[in-house]
Amino acid sequence: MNALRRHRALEAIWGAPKGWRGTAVSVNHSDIGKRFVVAAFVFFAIGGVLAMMIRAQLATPGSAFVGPDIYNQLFTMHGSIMMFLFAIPMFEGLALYMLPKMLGSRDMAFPRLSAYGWWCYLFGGTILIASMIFGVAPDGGWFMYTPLSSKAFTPGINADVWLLGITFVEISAISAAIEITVSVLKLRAPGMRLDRMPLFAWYLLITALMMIVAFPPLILGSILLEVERAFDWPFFDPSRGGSPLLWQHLFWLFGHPEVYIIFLPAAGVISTVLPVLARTRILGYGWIVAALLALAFLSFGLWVHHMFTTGIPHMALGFFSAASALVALPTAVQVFAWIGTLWNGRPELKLPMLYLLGFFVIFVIGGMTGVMLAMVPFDLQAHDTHFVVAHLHYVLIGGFIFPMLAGAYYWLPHFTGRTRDDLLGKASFWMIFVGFNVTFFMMHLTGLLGMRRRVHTYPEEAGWTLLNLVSSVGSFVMAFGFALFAIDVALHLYYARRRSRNPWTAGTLEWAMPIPTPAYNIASLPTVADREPLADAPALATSLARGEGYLGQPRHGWRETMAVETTSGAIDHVVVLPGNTRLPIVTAVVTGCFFLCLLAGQYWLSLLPVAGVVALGLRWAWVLDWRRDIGPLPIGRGEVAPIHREAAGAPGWWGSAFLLVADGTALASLLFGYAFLWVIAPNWPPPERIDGGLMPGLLAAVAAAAGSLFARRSLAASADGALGPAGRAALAGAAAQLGTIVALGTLGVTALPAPQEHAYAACSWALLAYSLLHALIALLCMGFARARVAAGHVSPRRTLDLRVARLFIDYSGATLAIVLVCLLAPAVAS
Amino acid sequence: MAVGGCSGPLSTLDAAGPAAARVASFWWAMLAGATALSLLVFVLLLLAFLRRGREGRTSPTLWIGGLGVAMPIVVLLALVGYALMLGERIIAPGLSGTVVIDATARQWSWEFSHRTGEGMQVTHNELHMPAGQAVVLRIAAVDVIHSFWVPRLAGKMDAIPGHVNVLRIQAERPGVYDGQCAEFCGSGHSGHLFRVIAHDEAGWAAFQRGETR
Amino acid sequence: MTLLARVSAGLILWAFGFSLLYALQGAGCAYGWQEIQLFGAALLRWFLVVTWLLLVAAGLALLRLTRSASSDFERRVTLATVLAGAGAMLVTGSPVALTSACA
Repeated sequence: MNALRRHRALEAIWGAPKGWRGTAVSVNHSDIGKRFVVAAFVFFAIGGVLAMMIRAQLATPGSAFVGPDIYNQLFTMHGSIMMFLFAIPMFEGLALYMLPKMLGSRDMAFPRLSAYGWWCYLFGGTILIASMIFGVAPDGGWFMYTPLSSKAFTPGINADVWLLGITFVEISAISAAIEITVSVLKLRAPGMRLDRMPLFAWYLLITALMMIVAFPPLILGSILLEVERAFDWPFFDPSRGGSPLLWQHLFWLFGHPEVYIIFLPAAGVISTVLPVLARTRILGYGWIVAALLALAFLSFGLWVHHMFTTGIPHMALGFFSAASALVALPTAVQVFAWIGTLWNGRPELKLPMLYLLGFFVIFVIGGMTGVMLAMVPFDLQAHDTHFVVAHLHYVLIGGFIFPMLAGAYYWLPHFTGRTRDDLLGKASFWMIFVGFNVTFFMMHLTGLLGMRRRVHTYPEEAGWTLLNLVSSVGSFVMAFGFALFAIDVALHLYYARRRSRNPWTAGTLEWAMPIPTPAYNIASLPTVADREPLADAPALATSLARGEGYLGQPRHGWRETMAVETTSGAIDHVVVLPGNTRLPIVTAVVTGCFFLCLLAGQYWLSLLPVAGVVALGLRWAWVLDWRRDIGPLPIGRGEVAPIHREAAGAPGWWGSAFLLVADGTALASLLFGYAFLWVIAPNWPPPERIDGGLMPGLLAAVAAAAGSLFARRSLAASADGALGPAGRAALAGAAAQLGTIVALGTLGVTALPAPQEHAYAACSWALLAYSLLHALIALLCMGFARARVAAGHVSPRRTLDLRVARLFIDYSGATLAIVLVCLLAPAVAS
Repeated sequence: MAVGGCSGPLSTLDAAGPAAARVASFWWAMLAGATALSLLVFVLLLLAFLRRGREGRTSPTLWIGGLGVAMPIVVLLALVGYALMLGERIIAPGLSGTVVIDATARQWSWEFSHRTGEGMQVTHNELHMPAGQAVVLRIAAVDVIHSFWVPRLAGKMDAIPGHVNVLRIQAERPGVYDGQCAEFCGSGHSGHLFRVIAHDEAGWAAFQRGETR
Repeated sequence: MTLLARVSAGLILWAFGFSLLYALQGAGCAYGWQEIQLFGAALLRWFLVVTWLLLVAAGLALLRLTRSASSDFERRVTLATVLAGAGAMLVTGSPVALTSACA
């Protein structure tokens, strides 16, 4: 087979149909990645227009451009769009597009999940933007503090739009996080040990792991607040044992790591682009990995620095103040590693480097003000003033947008296969850089002079007039700079010279393929023995195109790529990925219907789309059709490997495990909320505690334990080839889960006080609902397992379905035990 | 920078009380340090481009161990230690022998209850206190979260429904100081303002007797 | 995965210790351990300071992990993160000795 025939064969397997049908069914990571990037930029433009309206309003004192009600929507939507619809999706898009290429793989681990995440993002974002057009956009700030956002003070659907729309979008964030984690850990080119991965992959791995832990508290908080608004369960109402501070804890428990989740991928771009443009390798690879790990953990110990003025005792503030200062260290390690890299190399002042220099200047200043704000006494003055607005834009625009613009110009040739001269790009850089500093430097000053955040007007006598006017002028300069960037990119798409490959002579694998890239990325997979495979073997691209690597022979229409052992990068198995399908878009539409039902207050009707999602989810798993044993497969170079269905550490198992980590974080957040209210909130102890319930609790525990045993029994039997007993054990397991559900329901109805009475009762019911939901999931898993056994998808070799099912069932059982202890403890104690 | 540029009715740098004054001095010290460190980084960056072509690799230990770890540790430890001490003086002093005033926020006004010899004196959007001595405020809210802030006197403290927070403020001299709600509290947030009137001894005695001036 | 777990161990311990101190402080203030005096300081203070020092010692004890590292990369990253975790415990926990617990 020659290179051209191989290209055609692979393109037929990996490509998508032309036209709108292809758009709807494609699950290819390059397609999805590019869509994320383009859509995120569109949302960025919308958020930017809102920002310009804010600056127009604040340009003069006593301005009558918009009133407070519109203004509150403007800054709420500006913040929410930039955080949830621009920054996170932009990095997700870059990750989806770039990761497999850098890792020497052909796609991400769960292509259908990428597509589902994309549609959820698009539909959720559309709901939020549409709410602006209808004039019911969220107006309680992007932080949605209760009680301002609770039913009494925001009776309209504005707050519901935020809570539901953002949660809908968060589905895509969690999907992407799991996908990135598993792809980096498993789907690499053979030989790519963890310490041979490009740094960019390390950055994304750690970012994704952070997301798995950081997003659940926000999702949980949003659910609790929405339940309070819809059904009057008083989690945050102080008159019934709730506390507005609980919302702040949950929100910032997400909100602070979020800042680093945004910064780290951009820092990964710097660590990739900067050494190439300095014609050298990065200084201190191991140091940077250690710094990233430290940053990932420390960033979870900062959240209270958003709450320094809430009256928390000084000692607790001290913990978080010290951690907020320390987090500057790993950042300093990276900054000096980058500068040291520049010293060691021969840096060239090309366009991406210009943006990187802009990053250094702005981000260093933002870092300095960050350390200042970490100091409690100073924060008591600066908190909620424009000084903080200045700081956060210095770190977010400096730390995210400038590196991403550098990355955009660095990888544009990769996206388009073209290169263009720098003139327009340089002009846009200077406009953005100068405009940015003029806009935001002034805000340090207005903030110190006492200008609060989120005020739509200010008096002439305050003495902020000139500073605000200058700031507004600067913002328009910056906006024109971004417009110029957009024009430059558009010109790049149509009026630029064609280039074949590797214009920067970079060493990472994304340049070992033709550009623009084909749907399958690489015709065969390389063996990696170096952090920069192309540096040692410039001819690698041609050799791979000739099919000299792994999996160079297309067969059976399979989308094949390699999975490796996590640490060593040794060949583990071959993964056959699912192809184009309508399932993701259909499931996303039905999911969207669920959120729209809730938004409209049609809670009974919303059960219909829930049933739809369950059915589609089962179909999703069912269509992976494997009714026969494959055995070891030849993978080229005279080697063989098992197929993922018959291997131990298949991506599906890992993905489920990380999903359960996210799920466990949500439960931990709920337990934290329960304990927090018990200790801190006013109007405790509750008037009425759990009364009895020990019997149904014990029954539920016994039934769940039996469910776990049957799941094990089913797995063991099918491993022995006894498929009849395996199916019967699965059925018995399903019945056991049904018993759990009934027992839990009885416990709630007979022993718990009504959830509206007190936050204690609301928390207890929330815990009960959590376990009910998981028992239901366990029931579905067992029923699914039973059907898979009966339909011949399971054999002693093919036990993946049952192993994944057991994972969910064990999780459900373990969390049930925790929930029961928390539910019954007050009964035993009293 | 001209000190005159830092004055203003709401300026944190135009301090009129001990807490605000200490924070303002702290700010100027941090500004000096931050400027020096930023300049160091920018000069090192500039040199990276100027020394282009000169041979000799530099070691990771110097860059990362020295500049990336050792230097920031020294700076940050000093800063955190000082800030904790300053915080102890501002946030957590004893409360004995001082005037106590209840400040209650709502959408969109402030209510101040002064305990006087004559009973309670309640005022709206105008807090009365003696100058030259510390006053303890017990801050609460009845509807949503607000925040009590008089920039020239001290840092802010949130008013949270269901909780009572304590803030100590002091004005060195008699006068009128502007205050504002610092936590976003809905459509009236911009106009959620109040004034603090610090009396001299005679004025404070008159206020306590219920004589409005 | 074991590599990731080993290089994170020091920082996981920090996260645990940090949460523990914060929880102890919150519970102690809520349940009045601040009021009970013992050998010239509040019971809560003793509790916190002893916990803090034990956590720092435990963090340093994790240095043993570097001996069994399977590669040079793992050894160096483990060393750095264990020191970072123990150092962070020392610094972020220091308010238990320096500040007032419940005001």
